[in-house]
Amino acid sequence: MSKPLKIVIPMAGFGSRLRPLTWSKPKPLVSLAGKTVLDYVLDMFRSVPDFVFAEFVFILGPTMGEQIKEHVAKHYPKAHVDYAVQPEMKGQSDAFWHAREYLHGPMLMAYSDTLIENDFSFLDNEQADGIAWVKPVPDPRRFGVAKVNEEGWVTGLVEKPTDIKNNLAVVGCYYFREAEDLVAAIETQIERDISLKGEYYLADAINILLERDHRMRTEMVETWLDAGTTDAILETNRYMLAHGRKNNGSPANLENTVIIPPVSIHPDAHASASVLGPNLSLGEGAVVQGSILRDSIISPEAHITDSIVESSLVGHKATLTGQSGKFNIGENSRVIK
Amino acid sequence: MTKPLKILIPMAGAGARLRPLTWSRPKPFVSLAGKTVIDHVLDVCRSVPGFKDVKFIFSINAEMEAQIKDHMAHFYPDMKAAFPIDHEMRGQSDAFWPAKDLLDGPLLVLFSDTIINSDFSFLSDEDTDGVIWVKPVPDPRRFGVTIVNENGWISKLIEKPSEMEHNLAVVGCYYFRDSEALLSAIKEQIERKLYLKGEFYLADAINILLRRGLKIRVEKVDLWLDAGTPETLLSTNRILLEKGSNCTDKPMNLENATIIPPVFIHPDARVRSSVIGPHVSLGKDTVIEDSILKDSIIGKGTHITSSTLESSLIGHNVTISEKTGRIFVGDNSRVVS
Repeated sequence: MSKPLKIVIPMAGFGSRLRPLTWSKPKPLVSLAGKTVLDYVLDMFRSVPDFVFAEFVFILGPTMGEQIKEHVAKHYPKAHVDYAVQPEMKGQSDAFWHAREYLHGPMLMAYSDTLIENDFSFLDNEQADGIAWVKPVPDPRRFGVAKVNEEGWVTGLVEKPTDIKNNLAVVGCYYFREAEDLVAAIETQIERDISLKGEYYLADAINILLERDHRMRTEMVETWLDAGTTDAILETNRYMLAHGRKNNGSPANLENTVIIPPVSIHPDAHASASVLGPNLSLGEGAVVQGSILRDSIISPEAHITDSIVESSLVGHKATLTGQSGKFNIGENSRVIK
Repeated sequence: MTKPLKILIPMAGAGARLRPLTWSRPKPFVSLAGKTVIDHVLDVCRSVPGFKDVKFIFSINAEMEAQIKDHMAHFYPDMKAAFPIDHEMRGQSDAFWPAKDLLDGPLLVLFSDTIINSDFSFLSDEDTDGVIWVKPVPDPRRFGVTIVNENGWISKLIEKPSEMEHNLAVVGCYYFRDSEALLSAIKEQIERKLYLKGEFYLADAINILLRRGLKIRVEKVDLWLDAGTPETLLSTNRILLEKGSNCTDKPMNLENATIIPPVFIHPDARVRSSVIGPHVSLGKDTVIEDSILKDSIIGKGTHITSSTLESSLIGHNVTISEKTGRIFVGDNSRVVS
């Protein structure tokens, strides 16, 4: 590839299905398996050709974008990241429209709550104009699907099909050899006002590309994880911990504590007289005493004492004392005796 | 008064001390004794001469614009109000600056978490240059105080005095006969960079007015309620319920319920097999079953089952079951078994 690959990630959504965590944090910074969702999204692109030269484009919402910039500056100081802002939630195509000044040459995109496991190294030799990553699903009616002809080219994308004949669900990851073509199609989409309930869907822009004889093929993904809802993020946490993202914490900070793998315990988390795991993610600076925690994501600096916690999402700096059950509570919450 | 009185309510502050409630709503919209904090502040203003025609100016930040406009349009459809946006949020004096084109003539200023009992009807005959409402406090060192000379005029304001000598704490309510004079003092304050830790305090602008020879007097209040921290929000809730926000004389949707007054139970709340009170505020559409609640504020649409809660602050649309203790959680939280 002559021009640097652009990796474009729209992250302007409010994350309303991950409330209350997303009242204080943008969705990409919600904790997951020892890191944040955003860290996993960036990890999944490490196999792209010349990854170190790839240029990221993050499309932020009108609020909370500073937190993302701070996270990137702290954890990826050398990464080339351009930021665009989507001022109103008017759909996916609208997000790219606001980032169009950065969209040149080859472009790979994924949504900030879609995690797939995929080897992108083949993109070096890719001849097609575009690729839609898909996964066959038993019931495609709540997804968007790709229609493919006998030569293997995509002929159209269909949102929420009414029949289940075509089962190739699009996972939200696309490659475009010329980002300018996508921008031109979005311009046409906006001119023709092809929108649904005030939102411009990317599928309609891609259908315009296909009308223009854009040759798009599909690529199958094996693993497609969702981090967009409370149940999905706990399931994704379990998957990540079971597939190589586990650790055993720092023994110096774990006193009289039983670890039941898999877990991810930050080296700066402290636990005493507790049972941790399985499927537990314990963030930096968290303090656990006399508690049993499993199948949960505990954000940094949470304090949990004398409690039994399962299937829970606990926000930053939250405090639980003398409680048992399932908790979905945001930053600074307190549930105490 | 020649020109009509206007009322300025600065409300741009972030409300960090009321997190997690304030992650999802501006501090003035936190629930309190059957309404929100701002509704109680506006109640304080009802004795202002010509209240019905008074123009309100709410100095707000950009993020709260939609919420406050919706609230005012819904609950105060006849109110004349303007909503200038304080973009920089550099303190109290700065909050006046975006409103400067709206200010002329006499002005009453009331900070958005100050609830006092004052009869403002005397303002129609007030002939001083200004009035500052104060309350004598045992330990004035964490407040701003006024120094009053032997003739009864204020000679100076001091922020957080190190001595106990002057105990008249400034409660956050001010009258200025000539708002242009105040604006000119604020202009001088900003030009001379009279600020503390990046914030322009109103006290410094008032000290400029005093040096220019303006005659400002104190007015004492005996009730001064603060709604700025979890503890003071609960104590203010108790006092307001005792002073008339109790609703047990109105229809309530109760089944096998024992009510211990004072309480506020919204007519659209449902209570079954529970003991509620004293000092409980239940918002619209709350559902309480098999529970014992006291000394708590429960937001709209929240469901509480089989729980015993006290001294709790619970946001909107929260689900709680089988819990005992004190719970302080924001909107959309789940604390279940």
